[in-house]
Formats: sequence, C-alpha cells, structure tokens
Amino acid sequence: MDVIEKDRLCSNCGGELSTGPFGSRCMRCVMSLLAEPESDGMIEAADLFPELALEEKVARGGFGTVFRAQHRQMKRPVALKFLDTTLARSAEAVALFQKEMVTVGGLDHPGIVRAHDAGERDGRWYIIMEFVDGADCGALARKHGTLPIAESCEIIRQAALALHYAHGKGLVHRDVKPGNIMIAGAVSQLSTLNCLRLSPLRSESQLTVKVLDFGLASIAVVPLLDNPAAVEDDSTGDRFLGTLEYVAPKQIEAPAKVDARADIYALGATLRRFLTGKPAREGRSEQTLLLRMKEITSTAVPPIAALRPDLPKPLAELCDQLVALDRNQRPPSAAEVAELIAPWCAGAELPRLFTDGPLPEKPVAFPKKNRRPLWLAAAVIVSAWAVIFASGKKPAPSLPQEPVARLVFSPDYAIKRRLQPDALPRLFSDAWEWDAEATDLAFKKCGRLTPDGRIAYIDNIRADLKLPGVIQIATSGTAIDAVPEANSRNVCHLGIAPSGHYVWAMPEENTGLHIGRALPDGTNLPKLRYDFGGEIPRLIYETVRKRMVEKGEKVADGIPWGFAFATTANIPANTGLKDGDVLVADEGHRTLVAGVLESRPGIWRFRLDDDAPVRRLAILDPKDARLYDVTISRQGVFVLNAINNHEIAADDPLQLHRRILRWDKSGWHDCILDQSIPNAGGLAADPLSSDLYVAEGPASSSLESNHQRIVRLIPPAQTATASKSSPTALTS
Amino acid sequence: MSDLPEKPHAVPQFEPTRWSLVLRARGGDEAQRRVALEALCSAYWYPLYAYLRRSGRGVEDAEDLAQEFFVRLMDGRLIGAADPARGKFRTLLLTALHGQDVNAWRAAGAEKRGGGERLVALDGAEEKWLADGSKEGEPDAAFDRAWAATVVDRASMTLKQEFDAAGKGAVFDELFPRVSGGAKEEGFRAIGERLGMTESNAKMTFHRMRQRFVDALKAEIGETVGSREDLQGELRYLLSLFL
Repeated sequence: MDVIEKDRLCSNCGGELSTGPFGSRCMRCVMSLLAEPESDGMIEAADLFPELALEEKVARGGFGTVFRAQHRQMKRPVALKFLDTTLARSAEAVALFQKEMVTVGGLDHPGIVRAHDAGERDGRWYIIMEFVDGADCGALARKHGTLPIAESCEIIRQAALALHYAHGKGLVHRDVKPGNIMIAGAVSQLSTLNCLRLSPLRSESQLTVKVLDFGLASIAVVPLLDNPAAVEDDSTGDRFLGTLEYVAPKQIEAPAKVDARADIYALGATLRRFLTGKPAREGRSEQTLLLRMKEITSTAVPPIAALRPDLPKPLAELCDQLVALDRNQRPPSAAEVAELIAPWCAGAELPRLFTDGPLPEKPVAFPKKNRRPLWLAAAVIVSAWAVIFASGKKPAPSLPQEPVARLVFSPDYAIKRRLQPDALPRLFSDAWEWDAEATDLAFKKCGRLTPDGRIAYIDNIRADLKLPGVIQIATSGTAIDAVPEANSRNVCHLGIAPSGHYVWAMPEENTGLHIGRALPDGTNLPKLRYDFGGEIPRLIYETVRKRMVEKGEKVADGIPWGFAFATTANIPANTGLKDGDVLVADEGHRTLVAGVLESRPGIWRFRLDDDAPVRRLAILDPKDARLYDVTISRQGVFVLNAINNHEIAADDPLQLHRRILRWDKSGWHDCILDQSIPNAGGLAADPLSSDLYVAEGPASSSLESNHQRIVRLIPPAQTATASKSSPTALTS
Repeated sequence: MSDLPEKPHAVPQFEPTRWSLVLRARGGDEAQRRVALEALCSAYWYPLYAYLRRSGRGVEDAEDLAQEFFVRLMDGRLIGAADPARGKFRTLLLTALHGQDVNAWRAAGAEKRGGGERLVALDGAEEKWLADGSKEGEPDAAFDRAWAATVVDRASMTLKQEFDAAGKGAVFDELFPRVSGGAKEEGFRAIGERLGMTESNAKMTFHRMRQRFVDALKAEIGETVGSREDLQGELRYLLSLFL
C-alpha cells in the first residue's frame, strides 16, 4: 500500500504516484474525483438517446449542454441540446415550450437551424437539431472586436429575414444575440481561448446566416420583475445574465407577451455589438440584477453616435431606432428591418470575417444621401493599430528579442464578453487574471476562470460590507459564500484549481495572513495561516495586490501573494518573498529550471537587491528591472517588470511602463515587440495555448479614465511563423 | 454501453450503513452489530497500525495494541467513551486512540488474551508499513493517509470484482489506470483497438467507469459514517487531505 515510486510522477498533476492493488495510482487525482460534478450529462444523454451515437460535447451554454452526435438511422450528424433541469420552472413554461416546439418542427427556412425532435425523456428536456458546421457570430465578434459595417449589416439582414419567416408562423425567438446567429458553411475550430482558427474558406456563396435555438427561450419564461425571488435565484440568473445585454424591455416586464418587436430590439442590440464592440446594455459591477433590469425597462439606450461618430447618420438612426425603449418606435416587422438595412450591405464579404488580422472598412458606395466620409472610419482604425504597433522601440540591449505581435481588444469585452462559457470548454483557471487598476474594474479584482469557463472574482463591495458571497461567479450571478468574516475586505488573490476549488489570500492587519480554501460549492475548508515572522509590513493590502513593488514599501518575507494553478494540477503555484528573494513555487510541474539561485524542484528563486526601495531581479538588467508579476505556462516563466528607464519615463509621467520577459531553460528573452506596456496591471498565461495576456491601462497619465484593455500577446513559439507586420488574430 | 457490468453502484441509501448499524444496534441486535463492526475492523485495521507505528511502537507492540483496541471496540467500551465522535468510524477510532491510556492496555490485554486472541487478521501489516513511503508528519497524519488509501483500495477492489463478475476484466485492466491517475499517456484509439472497441466507445466506457468509481468511493466512505450529512463532511475532509 502506498509505495511511493520516487522516480515516477503523475502525468496529470505532477504528484507522487503510489502503488495500489491494481498498479500505480495518484491519490491526489483519485480524491479530486470526489469534487467533480456528478456528470457532464454525456453518459446520461447516451443512455437516454440510444438512437444517437454521441461523439463529443461541443458547448455548454446558458440553456444546457450541446453534444454532437451521429443519428444512427438518419446517418447524419445532429446536435443534441440537453436542457438544464432547472429551466422548466413552471407548468406554463413547459406548456409554452411544447407548443412552440411543434411550431419549430415545422419551420423550413434556409436561415433557421432545423429542429428534428424535441421533448422530454426521464424528466430531461431536449432538442435534436441540424448540426451546423460553422462559427457563431458571438465568437467572430469576440475575435475581431468590431465587425465592418457591410458585413455587420448583412448578418443582421439575413437574420431578420429568417426571423420574419418565423414571426409569420407565430413564433418569437426571445433570445436573439450574436451567439445564436451562425455563419454556416465554414469549418470552424474553436481553440482554447475563443480565438478562432478556421480552415481554408469556401466560397462566399456557401456561407449562410442561420438563426439558432428558436423556441428554446420559451421554457425559461418567468415574469422577472414581478418575481424578484426568481431574479436573485442563481439558476435563473445564469441564463438572464447571458442575454440581458440583448433582451428587450418588454421581455423583462411580461416575457410571455412579447411579439416580433422584442426580436427586432435584440437584432438592434446585436448590430450595435458588431459595430461598437459593446452591447447596447452593459451592467455595472455594483448593480444587482434587479436594478439592471429596471434600468433596461426604464431608460433609453444611448445614441450609437457617441461611440461611432463615423457611422452614416441614417444608419446610426436606424441602429437607435431598433433598440428604442418604446417598441412602437421600432420598425414594425423584421422584414422591414431587412429592407431598411439592405443599402449598407453592399460589398459585404462574409468570408472576410474568417480571416485573421484587422478588418478595415471597405470603401463601398453607401446610398448617396447617406454618404459619409469613410476616411474617418479608416483613420480611426488605422490610428488604433498605429497605437498598437507603432510603439515598437528598441529592445533592451542585453536581451535577445522575440518579436511578438500585440493584439488589443476593448476592455469590457475582454472581460465580460470573451468569457462566454460555450467558448471556453477546456480552459483552466490559471489562464486568466487581471488586476484592475482602471476604475471601471476597481470593484472586481482577481478575476479567474473556473474550470467550466465561467469567471470568478472577488467582490470588494460585499467584502467591505462583510456580506457573504464575496467570491462571485460572473456569468451566472452566483456567489460563493466564502470568507464572510472580519477583515474580509482584504480578501485578495483568488486562485481556482482545475477541480474547481477556490484558494485565496486574506491578510490580517499586522498579524499574519490566512490562506482560505473552499470547495466548488462554496463550502469553506480549514484555513491555513502564515505569520509575518515579526516584520510587519505597512502595506499588506497593497502587498498582496502586488503594488508593493511600485510603492517601494518594505515587504515582509514569507508572504505568498499570488496564486496560480498548473495546467492540470490542483496544486497552487505561489509567488512570495523569502529572505529578500522572490520565490516562484510550482510544485505541480516539478520542473527544474537551471541557472536560478535556488533550484529545488518546483521552486525558482530570483535574487533581489537588498537595499533598493524598488526591488530588482539581479539576473535581469539591473537598470530597469522591477518585478511586478509572474505567471507560468508551458512556454516558461513570464515576468512582468517595470521599466525604470528615463528615456521611456520622459513621456510617461507615471513611470508605469512595463515590459515582459520570459524565462526558459535557455535564459531570459524580451518578450514583446515594443518593449513597453503602459500601466500594466496583471499578467496571465493560457496554459493550453500559452498565449499571454496582460491588462493594460491608459498610456497617458490619466488614471481617471475608465479605459483599460486586455492585451493578448502571441507566445514566442507561434511568432516564429507569424509576420510582425501582420498580426495573426484579433480577439475581443 | 454494453461494455460495463450492468449492476450500477449505488451511493448508500443511508440507514443502514455498517457504521449506523453499529451505533443503532447498541443494546439491540448484538449479532448484527458485531457483524457490522467486525467487517469495519477487518477493512480498516491498517490506519490504526500505521498510527501506532508512527507513534514509535515496535512491530509486536503495535500488533498487540491493535488487537487490544479491537477487543475493546467490539465489547462497546470504546464507542461509549467516544460519543462526540460517533458520527464517523474514522473519527471514533482516532478519538479513541487519543483518549486511551494505551500503555496500560498492553499488559492487561496481553494477559487476558493469553497472547493468542486475534480478532482481526493483520495480514502483512509490517510489510505494508515498510512499503508505505509516507512516514513523515504526526501519527494522526499517518492515520489519515492510510485511511484514505484504504478507502481507495477497497473501492478499486469492489470495481474490479464487479468487472470480473461481468467478464469485463480486460476492460478494467486497460482503463482503470486512467481512472486512478497512474496511466501512461496512451490514446483511447489504441486502448480501444486492444479491447475491440471504437475510440468513442472506449471514451464512453472510460467516462462510465470513472463515474462508477466515484460512486464506489462514496459508497465505501458511506459505510463508515452514520448519516448523509456526515458523508458530506467526510468527503470534504478526505478531499482536503490532498488539496
């Protein structure tokens, strides 16, 4: 029993293997099985649907799980959507769903994904539909940030025609949004972080816009404003958070009584998302769901011209009209929407959306009376990219340069929209972190991905008020009831293990530091405690938020201040100070990194100067190296450091430029093309793709700005084949 | 779908588990209580032995004390003495270990048993202890580690027996190492070819086996606790040992 095989480590978590009665086993992995959800539904689905040969789970969305399968009799691929058991809340909703499914079964339109079967088996609701080979517009929009006018309008036009057909059958979709509109006919492959990589394109004639999930929303019909309890309920919050950005006011007030105009509103919100990179309605972090819904039903969407002054005025007016608060102000039918928008579809080339790189507006001839100077839009785009790429300056002289294209996408999407669960089925928790310095994120810190692709973050407001539920799961509105105790306002540095366990740091003022742990369901596990060893730091809070370096404060040893998890292991990697050195401990990988001061397995130690108010990594260029953040991926150890170089500081009054270096077995490498990242506030590596992300604040000294971007850096391995001047992907 | 034994594991329905029978039958059906307790002792003697060895006891000493412990457990003395820990067999054993003057047992126990009575067969106890690599930490930690390993081994054995009985021993042998984390990195296609299955069938069989193993683990742990609430707490505890 338990013979530790010292030469063998678990290929999954890096833990020690021991010998059980049937060969090697990893106790850590085995026991972690106890924390996994009961089942992802695939086994259950296979039992319930013997007529289908299930192939794989392809998505997990607000309504349930989607599997790709082969229909044994029909000999063709189908998609099985298995609805969450929590959705069918009332007999009325179920009756409506059944009625609408009958109608859906009769729909026959090239713009509508066809349903083959729907119903209930053993208490589970399902729908079997045509398997669409393509990419959804939500993923495309995230990839590109904004879509060009012509292509945006063409998607909306085709979707409007499909919706009009369904409306004619008495069916209202109720959940029109980018993620429910597909461009079929192009093979897509979602990589780990919703960065689309597409196979060679087919001809444009083969690309068709298709609307998904007709009738599905009917099962979730709940009169929300009349039923605050339902609003606060986790399970209902889950799906409404996903679509509130597109939902019409009337659908909130009386969801069972909506008509075609609700879908027209959602089409308008979708168009706005394509054109501006932002949804028509955005929640603020401090808003409850109920407040947010009240705002949607009582205030108008701001004019789009504020965000896109370059849009032709008639198009801007149409955009605003589609999302009018009063539904009588919207076009009366989807067919009319298609007609009104058609003039701006000229020159649309949908295949362009499947290419990498920026999508400039094409100089198409808009309707004469609507003609607007396209150079303006082009100038905006060009200047944006100029900002992104043109700052490439000389590299640090002593470091080999690894050119990496920088990709910028807008702040809110980076955080709110990129993290759709259906796009992130395989992503693990340490793929993502931002440490918000910009004000719009001030209340959400330490964002992390959960294993099922949702985002968890620490809610400072609740922590300040000592309310439970300090750890919030963003896409569902659920709150993990963790850390409800004194000083919980200091909760910081959340980490999530692949098993879904939460770990966080929680300093006690002037006494020590707790490391809290919770199970995926929020149940707290016993805390671990660290003493500060007699040296009481003044700025513990900032220390743990990693600002201590910037502020030059004395920092106590022995304080772990950051957590990340290895790709597949439930073992946290910590950073912290010990004997004045920075330690990065990664017990999961057990990888020896030679050349650093200390090379115990899984521990890397970096020398810091003892007396410098700003601690330095001596192994780096001592002139400009200030440690700021560390993250780990398969590509090595990445360090975000601050540049204390007067040349750069001259145009950066705050001296907040950062630079990223990568350590691998061959040494240090400068990791970005232009060597400086303004006001960077956090670093994270995607463990699977090794893409690197950094939160980037405004380049100017204006910290009042709400502007913050999340930048994706292509890892060195990919840039070997990537062109400097032609960035290979955009993400938003 | 047909590659697994038909009979699914069931997480214990609670009432009765072996441990609830031990607790409930006190003063009642003595025979039933004794059978249940003997079964538990036969299953979970090694954590006790590991605790005693880690406490510095020699081989004979540890064996004698373990036997004496089980004698006292059988006659109800230890259970009465450890009420606060009655919810779980594991915590009862540990609490009883902490609360007893073990040194005083030895002479009395050995004398009474004439050095001969053996309630539980401690087969290969010392071999296991010598082979057990985890000898660091407090005796309590050694106890917990041995407990968790015992739970896992018993659940593995249950699963193995189930597959063998269904004539699916080869499926177990191929796929179980993946379930228990000790697998080589080999694709499902190759495994499936050896088993005469398609790749997707092998994957599905693996998922089912894993789920069944989790059920078996929970069922095994469930036998050592007295209520559903205690099971949840016990699962969390065992999990936290390895987090």
